[in-house]
Amino acid sequence: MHETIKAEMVALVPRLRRFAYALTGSKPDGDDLVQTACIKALERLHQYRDGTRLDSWLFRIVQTTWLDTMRRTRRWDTRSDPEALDRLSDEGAAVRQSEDRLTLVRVRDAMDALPEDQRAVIALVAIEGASYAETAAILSIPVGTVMSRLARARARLMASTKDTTP
Amino acid sequence: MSTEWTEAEIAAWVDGQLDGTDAERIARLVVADPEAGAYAEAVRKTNQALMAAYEDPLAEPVPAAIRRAIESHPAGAAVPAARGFGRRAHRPSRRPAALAASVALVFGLAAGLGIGGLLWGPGTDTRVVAAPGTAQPGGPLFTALETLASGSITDSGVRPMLTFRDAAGRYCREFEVVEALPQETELGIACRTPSGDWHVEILVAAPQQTPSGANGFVPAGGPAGDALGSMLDAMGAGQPLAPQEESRLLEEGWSP
Repeated sequence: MHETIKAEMVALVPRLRRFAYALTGSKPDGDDLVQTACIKALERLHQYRDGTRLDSWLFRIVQTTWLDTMRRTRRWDTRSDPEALDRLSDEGAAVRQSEDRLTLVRVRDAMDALPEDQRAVIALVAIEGASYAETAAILSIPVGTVMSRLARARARLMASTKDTTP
Repeated sequence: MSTEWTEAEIAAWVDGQLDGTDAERIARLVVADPEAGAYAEAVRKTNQALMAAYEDPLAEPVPAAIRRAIESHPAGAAVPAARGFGRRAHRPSRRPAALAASVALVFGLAAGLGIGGLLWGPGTDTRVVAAPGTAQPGGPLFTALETLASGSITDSGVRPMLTFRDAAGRYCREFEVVEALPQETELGIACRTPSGDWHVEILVAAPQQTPSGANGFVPAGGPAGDALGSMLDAMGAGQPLAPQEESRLLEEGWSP
């Protein structure tokens, strides 16, 4: 049974990395987070209930691990997205990027600027395609809270990505 | 048709969260009302941009470090499948003396389970704990054995695995205690006495990693499984009860 779960976990890693990338704003930080969360999950396998969704359980562990990490290290002050550093050091290059690429960079910047609780909600709904109810279960918050955080996150993302012309 | 709408409704429709008449109403609305249509389009574009912004990991192979961390993690390595410890069918019968010989160290049972006694001592080998003891009524082990169907697990990590009758006609259950100590799972057998106590016949602790730690696993069964198998033989353990029979016993409080 444990070996099966390990195989399922490996299969879910791409989605966990995507979620962690969105939460942390950086792929390397996201990968560290996924690795820590997977180890934590394996240490707590006895808490996993057969018949419940493994992906939801793992998303939840990724998110709570991220909150723990931030509380401990205050990582939000020191985000280490290499692309963000590039933009600081070479504004000219950023301006020359294609509009599509610029949009993606803007989206990531806008995501980074969101409060943590809103970022987790919109990442689960818009990126992972989780239902509002699943999102509520993963984050242990009421569905109404999911909807209100989603609305605030969307309003901010739309506002900061509206103008795509440099 | 109502022209009333909220941004939340439209967003929920784009997110696929509406169905039935609600979904139909918004579907018509976004065509009929340009403002509603524009908002729906904006939500859709934002969702698409978010997916595109973070899509890289989906196209990349699982990083070796993460794969290794999962696959070589000791969790569950020494835990047999939930159907029980296995290996006792067709096992040549062993004398209880064989069991005694395989008992490396004898301790009391983990105090946390309400059995009383000593905690595990240090050691790297599979340790066999043959400490007769009675699970404290109301404690986590007692409650799990008395009330839980095989395969279920309590928050404290106690999982009954199967139920059988021994040669004396007692109902007995194999159970495991997941992570009783870090990276250590315990396997045990307890039998219900006529007075309604659960008497632990044997408890075996199996570290989930070989002493060398060289990403090898203790094979399911192994020395711990051998000790249990010997115990089962000595008890004259019968075949596992069918789930229906077990659930009847759970419901009726183990009346014979």
